[in-house]
Amino acid sequence: MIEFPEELFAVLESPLWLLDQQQSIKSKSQGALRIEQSYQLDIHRIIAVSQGESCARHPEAFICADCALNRHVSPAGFPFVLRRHDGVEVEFWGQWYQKDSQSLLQITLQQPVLAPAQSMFGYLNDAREAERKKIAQDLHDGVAQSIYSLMLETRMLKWLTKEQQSAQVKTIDQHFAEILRDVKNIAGELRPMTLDEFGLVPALEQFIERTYQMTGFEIDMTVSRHQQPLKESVRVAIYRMIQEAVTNAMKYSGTNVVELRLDFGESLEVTIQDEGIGFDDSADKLGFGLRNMKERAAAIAGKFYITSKPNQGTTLSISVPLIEHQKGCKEGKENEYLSR
Amino acid sequence: MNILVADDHVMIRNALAFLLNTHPEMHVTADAADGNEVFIKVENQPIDLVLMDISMPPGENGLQTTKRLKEAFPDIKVVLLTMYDERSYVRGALEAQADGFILKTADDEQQFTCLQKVYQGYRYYDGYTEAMLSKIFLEKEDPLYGSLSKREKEILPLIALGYNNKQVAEKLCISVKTVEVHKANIRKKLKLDSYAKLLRYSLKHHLIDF
Amino acid sequence: MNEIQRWLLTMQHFLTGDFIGIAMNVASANQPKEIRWLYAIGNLNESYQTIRLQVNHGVAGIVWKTARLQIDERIDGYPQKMIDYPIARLEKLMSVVAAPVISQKQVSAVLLLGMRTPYKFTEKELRRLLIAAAQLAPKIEEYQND
Repeated sequence: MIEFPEELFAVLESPLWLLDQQQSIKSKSQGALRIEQSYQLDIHRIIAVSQGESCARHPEAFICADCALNRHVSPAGFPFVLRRHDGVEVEFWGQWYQKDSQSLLQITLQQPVLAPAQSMFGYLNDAREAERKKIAQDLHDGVAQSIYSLMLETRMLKWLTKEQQSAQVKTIDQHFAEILRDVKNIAGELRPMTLDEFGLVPALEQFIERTYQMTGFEIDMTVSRHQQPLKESVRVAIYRMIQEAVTNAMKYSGTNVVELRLDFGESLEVTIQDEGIGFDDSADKLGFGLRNMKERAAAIAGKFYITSKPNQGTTLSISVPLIEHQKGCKEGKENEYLSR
Repeated sequence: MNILVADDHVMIRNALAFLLNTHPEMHVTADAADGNEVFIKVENQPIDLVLMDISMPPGENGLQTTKRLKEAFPDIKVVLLTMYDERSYVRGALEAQADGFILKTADDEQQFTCLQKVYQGYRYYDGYTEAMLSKIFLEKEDPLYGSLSKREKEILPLIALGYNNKQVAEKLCISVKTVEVHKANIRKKLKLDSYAKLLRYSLKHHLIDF
Repeated sequence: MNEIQRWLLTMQHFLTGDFIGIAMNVASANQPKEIRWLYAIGNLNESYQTIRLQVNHGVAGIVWKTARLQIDERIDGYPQKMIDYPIARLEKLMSVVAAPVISQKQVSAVLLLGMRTPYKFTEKELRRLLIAAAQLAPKIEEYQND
């Protein structure tokens, strides 16, 4: 981080606050002053939000237990809402950097929260709800109906001849086995047991096998060097990011194969690459799905990159520091998120 | 009785048809997988009763089909078969003018009873008395009734039936004072300032059975 | 080449489709069912054989569940359908229609027509599909009894 003479700092347009070790405000930029004039602002609350200690939606309130955002908030980038003096709520994007004895808070203005679907909140809510809806439908239209069907088939038994009964019992047996399979599949989609019991790579192997079996889509995985044990948060985040990347490749790439590479070293390097139709990555704003992946990576102290060119394929890279590195950061929350 | 069985799952249709056909008076003469098919078949074949699942994705749901059917063919009987026994579904069935409502988990006996009663011209919602149905229907139809609290709705029929305040309090395990307060509210909200009016209201809206 | 494949070849001119496929249950008797695309004409590659159909998902799956004709003429522009219809993804289909092949009141196979451009199937084409499905039924029965 560059050392800034405080007087120069004050001239900057972008809303920035410079804080010292005790988190007192040392300096504010022009932009910061402007924001403070128009909005009800509590800097320390905002910093608390970035650490996941406060509810991002309502910085005035505290700890909402089941918020969809809890997993997605990190100092590297977090959404929050400020109330303007006229009462209108406006969505902001914050970034908090810390190094040694100084920290810096930067705020960027987002679109006003008028159309929920156009904000990160809306996206996360919609995505979570869509996932829940699908599971509810699978359970209700699939499993429940199959069980009802079995109930009827069982009732039929008393009306059948002895030979017919024996055939019917075999059919009922078959249907039970099918329902069991369906239930296992739904549970597996929610959270594969292998991920917790055997780790990331076995879970990925299972995911690859299943994807190929169901859809014919190929994932060509290579794991290099020694696998290392991963923290649960890292395991899960990587697994979900790979899942999402594969889904995107299936939806958009136009090809039937994707390369997945995991490289264990001082950090875990994950690459997902396809030779599909790609897209123009020069646009400033990433779509919410990709921004979400960026935040997921940041939440485990990792980084996320994506490159793509029309008709030249797409490459996603995720880089996560591994346990030895992360262990060293355990003392004190301040050190947990290194500056970038 | 010519029956049409409607459900999106073919295995369920087949099993239901088999079970219904074991009854000497019932004949399943047609089946359908969605609302549109129900309509077409009812137009083209002699059908007395339609036994239909409320949920038949991906097409319209059974409630909408019932509404359409009853408008176009007022004589046809419609019995809804469902997993849901929540109030909103019962209300929906009432509004669609379904003649019957029965849960999938009900046993054969209950189902046969329901179908027979409906065929004979009665309304039969398994597990609901006419008074209960009237209440449910009224909640939506009459905003004044809808503005009564849950407790007030409980007390109204008791007063209509002639229980005095003390008896009502005992029955509901609340104090007499509370009963008096509720009673006053009921009178005010429904604008019923005499016992006779209250009784008439309850009878008119089938809130009490005799 | 077996009977069904031969039959499918003769159907090429009767039915409209860039891709024509037949899906069947390949599991042995009384085992949990496993529905796969076994026969195809106009396929871009052999990958379709790797798909396992889910009853209740995808056009063919819904045909299997309902035992009724199902149609989706607007796959293009809905990326989620690439996930829901693996056959459309693999064979690059934009419009599909599928009919149930029925034996003894149960679905024994699905006959699917797919087009690689957005297409509106005519009444005549749909009728022909149903006729073909009826023709296919005894052949599937024979095949499963062998």
